[in-house]
Amino acid sequence: MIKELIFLLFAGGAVGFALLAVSLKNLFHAALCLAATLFSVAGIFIFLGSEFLAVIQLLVYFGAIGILIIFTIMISPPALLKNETKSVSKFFFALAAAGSLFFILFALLAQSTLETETVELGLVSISQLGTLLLTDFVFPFEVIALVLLLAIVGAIIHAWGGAEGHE
Amino acid sequence: MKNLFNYFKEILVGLWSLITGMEVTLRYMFKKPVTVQYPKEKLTMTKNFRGPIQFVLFDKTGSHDCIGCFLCAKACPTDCYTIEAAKTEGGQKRPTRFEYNVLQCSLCNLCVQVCPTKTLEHSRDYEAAAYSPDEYRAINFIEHVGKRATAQGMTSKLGKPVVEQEEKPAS
Amino acid sequence: MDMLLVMLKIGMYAAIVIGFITVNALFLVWMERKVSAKIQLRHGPMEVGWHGTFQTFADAIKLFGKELITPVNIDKVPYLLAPMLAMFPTILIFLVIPIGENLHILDLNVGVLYIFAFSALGVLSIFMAGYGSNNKYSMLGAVRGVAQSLAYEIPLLLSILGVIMICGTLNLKGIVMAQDNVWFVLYQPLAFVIFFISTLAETNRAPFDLPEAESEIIAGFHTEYSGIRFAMFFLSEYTHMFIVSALATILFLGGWNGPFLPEPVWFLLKVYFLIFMMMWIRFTFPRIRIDQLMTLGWKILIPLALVNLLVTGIVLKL
Repeated sequence: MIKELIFLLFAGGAVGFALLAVSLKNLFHAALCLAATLFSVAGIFIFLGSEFLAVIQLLVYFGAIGILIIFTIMISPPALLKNETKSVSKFFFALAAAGSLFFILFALLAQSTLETETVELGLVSISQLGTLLLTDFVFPFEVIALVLLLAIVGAIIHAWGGAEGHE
Repeated sequence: MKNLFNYFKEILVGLWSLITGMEVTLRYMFKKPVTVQYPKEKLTMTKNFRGPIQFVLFDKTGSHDCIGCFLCAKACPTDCYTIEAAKTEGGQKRPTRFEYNVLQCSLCNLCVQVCPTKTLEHSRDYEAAAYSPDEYRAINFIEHVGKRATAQGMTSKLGKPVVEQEEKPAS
Repeated sequence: MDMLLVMLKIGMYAAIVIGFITVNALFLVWMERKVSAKIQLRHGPMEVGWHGTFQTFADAIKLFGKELITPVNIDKVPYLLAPMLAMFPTILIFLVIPIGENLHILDLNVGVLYIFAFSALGVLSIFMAGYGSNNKYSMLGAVRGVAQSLAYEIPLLLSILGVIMICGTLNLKGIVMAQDNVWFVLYQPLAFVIFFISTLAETNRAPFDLPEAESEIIAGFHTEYSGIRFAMFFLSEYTHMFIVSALATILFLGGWNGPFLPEPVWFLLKVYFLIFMMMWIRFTFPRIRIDQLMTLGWKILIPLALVNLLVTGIVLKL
């Protein structure tokens, strides 16, 4: 009973705040709602018995990305924060784009031949996770690292004023 | 390579300067505080402190040696003295009324300098306070010196002429 | 019946944690005033109780009795939520701190990460307070706070990685157990210094108190708060000091390990010694500029932490 209640709280929170995040007019409020969504998702992770994922979710998504988004809003010029006037055509374009993406994904997932199997939930320790990352999944892990490195280098070059260097 | 060396050198030098600063504050932490817990402990003022004027109190008689010469009143630039004097039985002139207005006094020290019997002095009182300015408008020196004498356990001979041979307290 | 028991247990834990937080904050304020006084050759509070021990209790009561001023033109929801959000993570973090071998409320496998995850919430509260107040000083303080915490979160995490590599666990109890013989501060002196400096910046303590630099931007993000709302920010700041000192004790100073005295006593002694260090630093150094802050964070602490990590890895492998 209590378990269901807590799950409903977190799940409802995730959905509700996500809806608020896309519908609120004030950009700062929307960002806060996004942070709340991420927090609720972390709560669901705890509920599912994965402390590690929950904590990482909080640390990375909530702590780092959420703060970064808010920081970006903060230092952007006020003109960018002005609310766009509502237009019907824009609304329909957005609906069409989102709808088509949804249908494509849905169709792909429905056709997928990926096997599903039920695995017994065992406590995965962090050392196991680390071993797996550096043995079986070392290739994706390294690719991600490379992509991140590229992104960092790109950001630095961009901040410096293009490939010509600063000044 | 040289840049790298300088980088680490700067960090070490900076760290050392921080430690030096911390050492200074640590030393101060064990020094005795210089502030005084005022109402509980009080400082004595230095000899040269210029508080409001008072009569010099003579140890033996517990009285003063004012001869009513009015020089202080004449010298006073702000007119703070109100003096009346009369001859006593022994033929000596003594003040019958000696009032001092602290509110007008500029503590200029002229009266102290001009007094022929060295009867006036600056008190070391630094916490003068009253509920009304009237309490400071006319301080009766003759009464005041009597009070101080009683406080010090002397029998005051107010109004009586001071014994001629009395020695003045070493200043 | 069972549920009632659970509820009772939770209530008891909450009472203990909140009670400890309050008393700790009041004690720390008193200690801070005493340390500052001693350094500046003063006495500090002396009147209420023995050497002014109860001065902070009186101040707290006064603060609770004050009027709550709510400015017009504020952004209501973030403004009202911010003080509570500042308190919330500090209470949660207290759950996992082991004061003795069996003296903790939660024993999480990922204790270290848990603490860092929730201290990230503190930045959000600073930000909400700054934005919600609709005041340029609050906003400046908030922007500074976020920039600062972004810059110092990285060396903070990098510096503890060395310790975690040595003992191979994220469990706070496990880390303390691993220091039975030798404290990690001897293996990782550089990491300890980096950790300590970064925590100073994380908790907005002087000389990194730019978000609330009173001589420049009034009180920074809590300029517009009064009464109990201000008290909550205050409480969370002092509790945060305790938390980071406790974390430093657990990670580097051997937690509750020590001879003769009982475990909690050793733990608290180490924690309060670190807090004393923080106060000592506060009353020694002037506030640094924002560009110096960024230079220190990005150009000195992060490279040093990376070098430390590399050396630790190599030594461990050899």
